[in-house]
Amino acid sequence: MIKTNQIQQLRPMLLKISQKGYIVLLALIFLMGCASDGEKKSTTDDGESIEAVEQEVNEFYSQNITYKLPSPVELYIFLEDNGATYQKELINSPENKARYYTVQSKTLNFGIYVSDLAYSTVFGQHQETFSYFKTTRELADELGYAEGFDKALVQRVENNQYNLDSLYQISNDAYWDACNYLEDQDRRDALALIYTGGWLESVYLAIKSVSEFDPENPIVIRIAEQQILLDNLIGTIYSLEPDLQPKDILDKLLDLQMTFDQLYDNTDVVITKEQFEEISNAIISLRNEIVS
Amino acid sequence: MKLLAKKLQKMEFMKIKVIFLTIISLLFFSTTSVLSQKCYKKPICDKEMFEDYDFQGQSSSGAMRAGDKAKIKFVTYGGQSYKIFVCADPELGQVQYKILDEIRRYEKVVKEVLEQEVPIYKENEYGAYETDDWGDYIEIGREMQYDTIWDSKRVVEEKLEFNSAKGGDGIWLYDCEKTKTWLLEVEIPGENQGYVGCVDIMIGHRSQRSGPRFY
Repeated sequence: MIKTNQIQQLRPMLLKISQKGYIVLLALIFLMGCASDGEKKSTTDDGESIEAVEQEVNEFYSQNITYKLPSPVELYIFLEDNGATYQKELINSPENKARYYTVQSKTLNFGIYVSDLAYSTVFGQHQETFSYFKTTRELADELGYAEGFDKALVQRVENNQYNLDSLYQISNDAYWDACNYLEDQDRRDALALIYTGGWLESVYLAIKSVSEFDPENPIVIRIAEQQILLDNLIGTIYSLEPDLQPKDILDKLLDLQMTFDQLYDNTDVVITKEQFEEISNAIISLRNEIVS
Repeated sequence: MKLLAKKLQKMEFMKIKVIFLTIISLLFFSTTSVLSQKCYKKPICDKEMFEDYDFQGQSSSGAMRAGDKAKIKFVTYGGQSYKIFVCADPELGQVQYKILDEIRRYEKVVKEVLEQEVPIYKENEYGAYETDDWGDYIEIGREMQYDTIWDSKRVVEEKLEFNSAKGGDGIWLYDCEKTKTWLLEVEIPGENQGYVGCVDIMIGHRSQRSGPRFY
């Protein structure tokens, strides 16, 4: 859901007051929004001038912004286009589902399983696609995200279980609907965890597809570029109300960001072997911690 | 007594009227709220605009009213082509949007300069310190030494890349060479009014190399 100015930040307070007061407050917020916008930096319309804004890391993120990042599917398509092969032994086994008791671990692993589902469909793995669809649906049911995984969709899967292209589109639709549903229900806290699980799994699988480090390898470069996605992922968490932010996950992602931030020092290469190893170890360790 | 009863009756009626009006207004607002939900289930954009781009991933839908602004940060991957546009409920008027290029980098900044007075020792002709009979260095004066402690600061530069108000069809087509972040700002014209309508921010991508897949 699109966030509008300061309204989202004050939502809990708004809920407590009457509807008439709500209107008055909305008007006030609108005026405040106008005033603060006037104080902010502005860019010119000629497209030429550049304005630099120095920000502390915490100020870098704003609750007034919705942060988006490409779905893991795009990374998997890139891996396949660049010669990576499917590695079944790497993805999180559906059997592990029974290990996840807390809502947080279920939600994070829902993201991981959805990512594995996308990985299996992109690499044309028929049996795994069907199995991971079943696992994600069960977890979606447990977590109350059944919007994207309703009976009609299950029927679609059963009717198309031998058509991988259709399964790919159906899985994508299911994930998209579930995410939109959560966004619409203002469950952005759950969405942030799903994005975290999905993103971590995709970067983990990308790292594992690199057999030998080469700074010119397109997959290695794409892994380095995940620094930008990580920034937006952290923004997704920062944009939540403070009491909804998963602090433990946020701290781990901030540690990961510090590892990625070393890349800013590079001048001649995007990433060095040492940096790649350090980033890989940090990603693998965090991903394994979540699935275990 | 009768007058008092009548007055009380009137007050009671007023009370009921207020409660009734409150319920009606609450119903109205909750209806508006319900209507504003599930914008993603009511796509506004003409499907012909989609071409062979994939819009699942970073597109966003939501309810907005006149005077509202929304900001979205999104990522474009190098090697992919993008088609971006915004569609809105016609009742909201001509919705404008801007896309700003976000250039991020770290800059070294001075965190602290430490000042310290240190002794100057006597040196021989080869630059080595001379010592006295006790083996200690021979102090010949004192000087101030400065030690700079550096810190890094994230710097963001924003450059206006696209403005739908500048004319044209309001569609931004972009071939991305290097993965980067963008900031999209949508603004609903007019002053804050009651009407709430859906707005779709469509961010579509396709590979520059292999073309569309699975369609």
